[in-house]
Amino acid sequence: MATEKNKTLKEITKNKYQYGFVTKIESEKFEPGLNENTIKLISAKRNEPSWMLDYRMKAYSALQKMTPPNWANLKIKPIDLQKIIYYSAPKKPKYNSLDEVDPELLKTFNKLGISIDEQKKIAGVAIDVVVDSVSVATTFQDTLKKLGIIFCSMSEAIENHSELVKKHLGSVVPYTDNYFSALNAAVFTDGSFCFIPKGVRCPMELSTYFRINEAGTGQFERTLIVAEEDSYVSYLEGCTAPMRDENQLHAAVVELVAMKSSEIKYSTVQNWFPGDENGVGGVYNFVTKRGICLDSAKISWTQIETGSAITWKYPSCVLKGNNSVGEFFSVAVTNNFQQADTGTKMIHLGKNTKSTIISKGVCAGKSNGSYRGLVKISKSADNARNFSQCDSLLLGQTCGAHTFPYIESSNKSSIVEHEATTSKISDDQLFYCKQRGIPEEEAIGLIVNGYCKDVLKKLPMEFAVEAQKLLEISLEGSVG
Amino acid sequence: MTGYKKNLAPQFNVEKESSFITDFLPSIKNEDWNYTNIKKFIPDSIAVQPFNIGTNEEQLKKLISKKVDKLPEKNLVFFMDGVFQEELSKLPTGIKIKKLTNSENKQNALYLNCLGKGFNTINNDTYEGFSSFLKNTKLVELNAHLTDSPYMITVTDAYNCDGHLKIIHGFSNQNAFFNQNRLLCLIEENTRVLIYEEIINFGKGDSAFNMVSEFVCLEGSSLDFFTTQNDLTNSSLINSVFCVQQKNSSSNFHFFSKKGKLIRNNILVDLLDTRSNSNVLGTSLMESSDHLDNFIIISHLVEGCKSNQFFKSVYDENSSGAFCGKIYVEKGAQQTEAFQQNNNLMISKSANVNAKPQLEIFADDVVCSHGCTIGAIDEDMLFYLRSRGIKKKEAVQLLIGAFLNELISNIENPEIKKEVSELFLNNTNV
Amino acid sequence: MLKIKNLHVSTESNISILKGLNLEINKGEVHAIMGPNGSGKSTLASIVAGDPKYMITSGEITFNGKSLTDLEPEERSSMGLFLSFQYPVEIPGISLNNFIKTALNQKQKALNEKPFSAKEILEKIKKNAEILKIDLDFIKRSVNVGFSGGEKKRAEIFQMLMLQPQLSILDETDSGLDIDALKIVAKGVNSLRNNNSSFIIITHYQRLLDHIQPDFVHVLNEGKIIKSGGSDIAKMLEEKGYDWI
Repeated sequence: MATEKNKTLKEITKNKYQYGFVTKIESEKFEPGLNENTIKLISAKRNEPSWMLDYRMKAYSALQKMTPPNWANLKIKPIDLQKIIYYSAPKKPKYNSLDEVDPELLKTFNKLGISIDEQKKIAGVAIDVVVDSVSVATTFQDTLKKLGIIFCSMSEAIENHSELVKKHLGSVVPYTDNYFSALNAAVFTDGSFCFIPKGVRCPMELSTYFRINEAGTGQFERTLIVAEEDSYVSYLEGCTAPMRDENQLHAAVVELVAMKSSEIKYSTVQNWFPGDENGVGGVYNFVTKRGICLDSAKISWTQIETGSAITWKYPSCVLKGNNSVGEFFSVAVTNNFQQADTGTKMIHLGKNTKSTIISKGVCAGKSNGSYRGLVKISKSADNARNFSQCDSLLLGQTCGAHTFPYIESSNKSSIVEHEATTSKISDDQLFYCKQRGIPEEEAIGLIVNGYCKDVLKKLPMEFAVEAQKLLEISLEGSVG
Repeated sequence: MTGYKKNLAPQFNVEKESSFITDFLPSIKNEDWNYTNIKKFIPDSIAVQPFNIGTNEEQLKKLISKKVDKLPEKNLVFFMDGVFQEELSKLPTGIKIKKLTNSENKQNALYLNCLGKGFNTINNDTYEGFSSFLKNTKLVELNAHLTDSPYMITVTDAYNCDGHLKIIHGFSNQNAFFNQNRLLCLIEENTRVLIYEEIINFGKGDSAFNMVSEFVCLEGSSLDFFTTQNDLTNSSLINSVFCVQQKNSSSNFHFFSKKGKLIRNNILVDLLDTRSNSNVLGTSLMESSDHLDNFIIISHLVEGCKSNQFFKSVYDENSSGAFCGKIYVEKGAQQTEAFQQNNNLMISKSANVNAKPQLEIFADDVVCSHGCTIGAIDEDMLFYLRSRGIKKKEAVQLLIGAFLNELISNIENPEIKKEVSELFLNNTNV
Repeated sequence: MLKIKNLHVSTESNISILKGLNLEINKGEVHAIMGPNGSGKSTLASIVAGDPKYMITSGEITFNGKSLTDLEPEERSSMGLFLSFQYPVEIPGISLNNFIKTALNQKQKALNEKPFSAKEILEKIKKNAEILKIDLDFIKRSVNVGFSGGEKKRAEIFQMLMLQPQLSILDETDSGLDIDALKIVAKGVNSLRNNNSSFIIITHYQRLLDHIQPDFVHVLNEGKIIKSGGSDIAKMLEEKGYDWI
């Protein structure tokens, strides 16, 4: 049986990335390279106000004093910032109506399974689509407008809601935070902005699709979500990229501001190109995501990470307000030569703050998956509670699973509990499924899905199905 | 991917004066030391204990009697300032002590690194000893510079003793020195030994101790090693224990930490051959502003081994502490069973606890888990006790005792159990 | 002996559970309290024993004429109150033996009596273990750790016999017991009942009341006693369910 299983697992590695096409659309792009001029050009291209250019310049000068972080459990080829194209956009960036949209681009969305046209008709999800560096279409804006909700591209937000952006941009993730946040602040070109006014429950899922298309480009999107008092929003993010044999850099920053008694649910299905079965190509995914919770606010991060050659990502919550709640639910699947170092930080500052961490790692092929997390209970965080569960599942003998939790408590009335396990799919489970007539491939699929269930069920309906499919594809050959 | 790198242990190649100590002290930026700022505990100006203090036996006995009523009458190995005291020791049959010669002492960091080479490991090419740790913790290298040739204790198969072998590391410590101590212990094939180690500071407080012990467990041997760390008021201890194990061998370590300005234990165990197992346990009760840092790495290098880490700590007053435990499972080390548990009880508002329980696993057919908790006394338990008429203060004491007793109650040797119980459970009735 | 007047109780998070409860229990009486899930039965037990998770918002509880409101749980215990927990907590590291010794002598101390000698305690343990058919090895185990549901309940009754309380509250002591264990528990209760002790028995089922005949039965619903009477009420409830009321 062991050899049979090995065979099945080998088949996994033969699986092809199904979003690996390139769209032939004309685009306008800069020469590769990063200097003050690049930043000025980006800013000029976006017609940005001067404060924005100042902010970028400050970030750039901070970046020059920094070095890329090396503490993660990752082997990374050095990244040459001078070889990256910092601006690339479909020639006609924004469309007044869908009829104007480049048919090639529409085809792209159809291939991705996002039909903007369809989406416009059926109520449910409002989408902002970002290709390479710029937002190309945002749907449902009018419906949302009536409720006072702002959902638009970051560049529009800088233009039309300058004060709001100025107030919150960099308030959660300052450009000094780390190397990649500095890089992002200097060169980000677009992303989504979302503002939910006081007392409003956003009636639909807000969603952004990110796509890297052009060769040699980096994607540096910036997302900012501000939820005012007593408001609620659920936000989804999906990402894909073409297959290329070079490593593309993706360095995004996401900031969430959850004011008093508000709730932000942020879900990600990350499926950047992971590289081929020999470990060639794939996206380098270095993302800084962080949210701040004021009194009684709640931020919930859910992520399904199946793509990217390298994932470096720690969606975090600063639980500043009393009674605030932070959650992190993650499934990270690595295969072939993928490497993932992901986890979360829960910083408890307020009283009665609660956090929950559920992390499920699945490693196959020659990949390595690491959970890295920090739970910090500060002196002021009376009666804080944390529960963490970090499990790893190994498929095959050539992968590695690692767990690096950091737990720091300075308050005796708090309770922190951490559990972790590492195991393989048990032969008993497999045998049981087979005895009931389920073939091995499907059995492994069932078991992996069951193993990830705690996280999958946290996803909004629209995404749950997609995520489940993605898990199957990532481990295709054995997962049915 | 970290772990065992393809290069050997750093060579000890410098001969410097004692003023260079700070070069060897790890900074908190060092991942292995991020919860203990060693520079806070060991001042730049600290003087190093000179080799071989010329004390005669008369003076020695006088010094000892000031602190210890009576030394054990049998099974005793007594060191004073790192020098074996044959007159004071009571060596049982089967225990041999030899001072390694200067030529034998020319080796690099650890004796284990060269002894380890002879071991029959399946993945011979990946085994690199403890080098990645030694690179980060140069205190071991410092110890090698500052100590004379170490003693090697051999537990031969002629040793057959029901009770325990007591090892006392005494320090005369006239000038609040930075004391160094080094020991190598070889347990021969199919031999059992129970060692109970104690550090006694006969001299001044405000001093520091840098101890390095190496254990080699040959095929079929069994080592039980208990150590109490309680006589370190105002002093700092860095205690590094390295253990390598052959086929079918077992090791059980239990660290009892109670009193010391700083107690840092580095415990590294390499399971080199199949069916070996290791248990590393710790029980501690920290008070005043004392700081405890337990750092453990158990490496499963071949298939079919078992390990267990279990540390229980109580933090009272302004004490602080850290637990950093790692289970490392090498490629191909299938059928590994490795567990780790760390429970911390915070009694006081100003206590501070950090934990870093880690798993690094490169084999799929393994059962590994860790659990870690930090919290105060369980309110439900407290209420249960109080509802039976036990006063709050007593109930708290009882629960602390129960927490600490979990590991102590499993000690088989009655004398050690009694001593340790007195140390931790003084008046609590558990 | 126990008087509860217009008692209102809330949880820490201000959820109101008991809403004006009245109850009076005299020496030697056995009261059964029944009621649907969530009616406040266990809250009543907890608040009388002094569980800090609940707060009295108004009303009063007195025991032998003394208000319990400001008393610590251990003070209530030494006055002769005993709670057999619905879910006895596991306490690793403390043996049942030493636990009960500590409790007994703390009580002696609170009553200004001299502590029991080891021998006296051992005799008591043996006597009560005999009544409850408990093996002496069982008493050496950590309090409730790894006990089965039935063993936990038996250990509660054992502690009750050891402490000889004036008033015992048995919170669903019968749930999870098989018929033999139920009889043993009833035997334990009845052996204490003979010397004028009082009981509050919280239960869902008639079957425990077949073995311990109650003097009164109360039905609790939404934080209030909505019906009181003799043991026939329990039988009616068993047959017809709570809708009958």
